[in-house]
Amino acid sequence: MNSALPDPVTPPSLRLYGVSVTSRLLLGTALYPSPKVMADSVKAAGAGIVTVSVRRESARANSGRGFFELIRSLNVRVMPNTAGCRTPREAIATAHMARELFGTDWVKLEVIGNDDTLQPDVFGLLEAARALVSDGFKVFPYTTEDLIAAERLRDAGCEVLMPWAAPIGTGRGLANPYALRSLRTYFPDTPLIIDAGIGAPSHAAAAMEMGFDAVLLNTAVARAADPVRMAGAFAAAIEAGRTAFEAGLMEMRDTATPSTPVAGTPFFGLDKS
Amino acid sequence: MFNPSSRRTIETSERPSSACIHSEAIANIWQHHGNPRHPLMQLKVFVNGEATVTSAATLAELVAQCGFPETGVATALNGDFVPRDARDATRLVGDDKVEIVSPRQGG
Repeated sequence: MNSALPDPVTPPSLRLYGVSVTSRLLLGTALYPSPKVMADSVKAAGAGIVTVSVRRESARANSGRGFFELIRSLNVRVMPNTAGCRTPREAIATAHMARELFGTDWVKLEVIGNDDTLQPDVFGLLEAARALVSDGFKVFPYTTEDLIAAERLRDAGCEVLMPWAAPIGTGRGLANPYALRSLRTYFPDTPLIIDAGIGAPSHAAAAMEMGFDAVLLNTAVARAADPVRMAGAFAAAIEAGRTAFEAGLMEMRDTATPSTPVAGTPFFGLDKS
Repeated sequence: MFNPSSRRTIETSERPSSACIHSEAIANIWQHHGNPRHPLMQLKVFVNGEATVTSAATLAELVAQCGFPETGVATALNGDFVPRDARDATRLVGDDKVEIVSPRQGG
């Protein structure tokens, strides 16, 4: 054993609002072909955090109870969202209802500004974030890649930011890699979770290679032909991407450089007559 | 002509076992007559966007009358969250907009 070799480095685990998180894949619980497939996908993903929502209940259907019991049986942390909210007021009331129902002060804060893109309204988002932080919530804002919006959200007390990769449900991957890279560079110590727009495991791996801390996705797994297998594929991709980031990627170059040693190449110089 | 005493008779005899009736038509008729608050009288409110006639005086009573469990649902009144333990003290007035929600799948 060579004592000069450094000890194997245990990569620091991800901490979100003081909570240590083992899996860097956060999974949504919607759009699956069945509750069983959803539950099996969460297990296959190894996800420790799943997103949930609140919706109008019908006394006849009483659909909330069965869903919540299934989620509880998975033994994962839940992150309620404020999906569909278009104003800070709606988002704030929804967050409070979710906190009471799910018994968590974590909230994935969404304030949507546009029907076609489901783009975050960063102005409304900031207003809602300020109010919820002062009400004791741990706010995970679903935001864009905008640096200044991110800075304001941090100032408002958001310890974690969740920039989009592309609009929700599009599966287009990292639409603006340059801006996302800037965001990562600008906030080296803020946990950044890529949320929405991921379509393929390669997209998730790319985000992790850039140094993002985690990926939150739903449709790419739920709408796969085989969601359970896809959940496993995403888990593998995210782990590979994270390991690659920690291992340090090589610098990209514009010109070729041989990998095989040049010195000692056979026939070197013979064609120069 | 509208006769309050006859209306009350109809209410008690024809009201379904659930006092929470979704009926825009009935609600409109009663609303038109300036329904004063009275324990036996009904009130039109909106539950999850649906016009609903109820004899409930408080949000807690409405939740119970509509058949929701006390826990397992969360409530908002006119856009503001109402915590579970404040539902008893939250009195309803005509055209109140009540949201009653429960856990659901989300992304």
